[in-house]
Amino acid sequence: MGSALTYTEAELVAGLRARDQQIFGYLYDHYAPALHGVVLKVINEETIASDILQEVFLKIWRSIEKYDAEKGRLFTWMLNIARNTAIDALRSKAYKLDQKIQDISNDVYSHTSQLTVNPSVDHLGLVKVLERLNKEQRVIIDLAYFKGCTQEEIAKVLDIPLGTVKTRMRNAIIQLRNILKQQ
Amino acid sequence: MDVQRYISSGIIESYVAGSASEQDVKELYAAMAQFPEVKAAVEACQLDMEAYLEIVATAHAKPVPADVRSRIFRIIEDDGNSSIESVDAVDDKPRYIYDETPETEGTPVRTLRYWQIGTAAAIVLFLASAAFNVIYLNRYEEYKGKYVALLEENRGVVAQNEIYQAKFQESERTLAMIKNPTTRMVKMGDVSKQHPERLATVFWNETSQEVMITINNLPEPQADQQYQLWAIIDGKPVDAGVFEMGELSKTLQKMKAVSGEAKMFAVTLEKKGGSPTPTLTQMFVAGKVAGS
Repeated sequence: MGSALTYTEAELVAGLRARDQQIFGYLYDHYAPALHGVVLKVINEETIASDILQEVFLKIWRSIEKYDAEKGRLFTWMLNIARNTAIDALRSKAYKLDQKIQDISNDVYSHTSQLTVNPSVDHLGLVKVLERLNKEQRVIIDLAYFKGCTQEEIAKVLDIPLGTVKTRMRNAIIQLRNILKQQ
Repeated sequence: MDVQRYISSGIIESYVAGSASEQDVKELYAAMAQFPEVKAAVEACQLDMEAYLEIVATAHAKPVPADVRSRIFRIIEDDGNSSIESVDAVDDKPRYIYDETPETEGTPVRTLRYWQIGTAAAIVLFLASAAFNVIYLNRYEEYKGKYVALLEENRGVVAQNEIYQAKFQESERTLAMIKNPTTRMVKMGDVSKQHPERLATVFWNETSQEVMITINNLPEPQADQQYQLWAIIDGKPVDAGVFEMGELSKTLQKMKAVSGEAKMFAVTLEKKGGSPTPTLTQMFVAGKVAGS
């Protein structure tokens, strides 16, 4: 923490590929809280989340050669690793449906955090973006995207007919798209 | 396929969010390959979800326990010291629900699966084949043994069969002789009148000169003695041979041929092997030829 230097994504990637531990430290300090947030969205248990986060950073360090800048941002790449690793952990723990979704409905986007990811993004603004999605829409997206729920499970949790899960998902993501466009 | 309708069905969004069924995913892949507008819709949706992921991550960002950082650095320093170039496969693609098996680090599971299955199948087949070889070899030995035994048995059966056939032919001949209307049956009864149970029967065919005898009841002679049959022709006894007692007595025993017009048959007890002339005092049974 507290490094005076700032790096572009390209510089970070080059540094990681050069096995520069100082760069890796910078990466950790700036991105770990966000990746931690993603992991906690999937598994809301601190100790497990810490282990998963460790695995995520080791994957980043060891697999940086696989990152392709043309396919997307480094940040997005790391977030996908975090989400995938966490969902795999969630599945391997074979949680019952009730256990894995217990935190979904009282999920509030008001964590205070030290945002160092992108100084140009206003944290409160992001929270507001999320709040513009109504709760039902947020829940259906998060059940699938962060809890790895099947359509059957979503139908059960939301108590809606299986046949309407897909259309609800579409409506929720269209709403999300509209909100993102207004940013 | 109505592409617009398919795009608005919600399958794409379900897929990108990770909740599409395996069936839907297969369908979608086919549709993406065929219709560029479907592919474009999927990619647009993926961008939306990535933006959402970034927002959630940023909004949810949470301080990490301090020890995690030092743990990670300890591990990567160990990595560096042992200078192991890691070949870990990183899983940076969005995760979808149909990926039921969590990816194993460093193992490209899906590309390996087919040859792994193939190899496993080949090994199983080989082991099965080897097992069958052992089983069949054992069976072969077993059957070979059985075959030899059967051959032996068969040889025995054939030999026995020959004996039975010979016996059968003999019986047939005997029966034919007895059934022949020209064959005459001569019942020989007790001569002394003191032993009415003594009885023997002669079958005689004058044309073929054949003579057969069956003993209905005669006492067993001593070891050095034997019964002898006589035919009385023109008042003189003619030797018709000795016969056996015991088990054989119940069967028909072929005697010496008798030529000439026999009027009577008689059995005397003689020394073993028979006598040239009968010992008349030792006559046991006798009977007249009917109609003579």
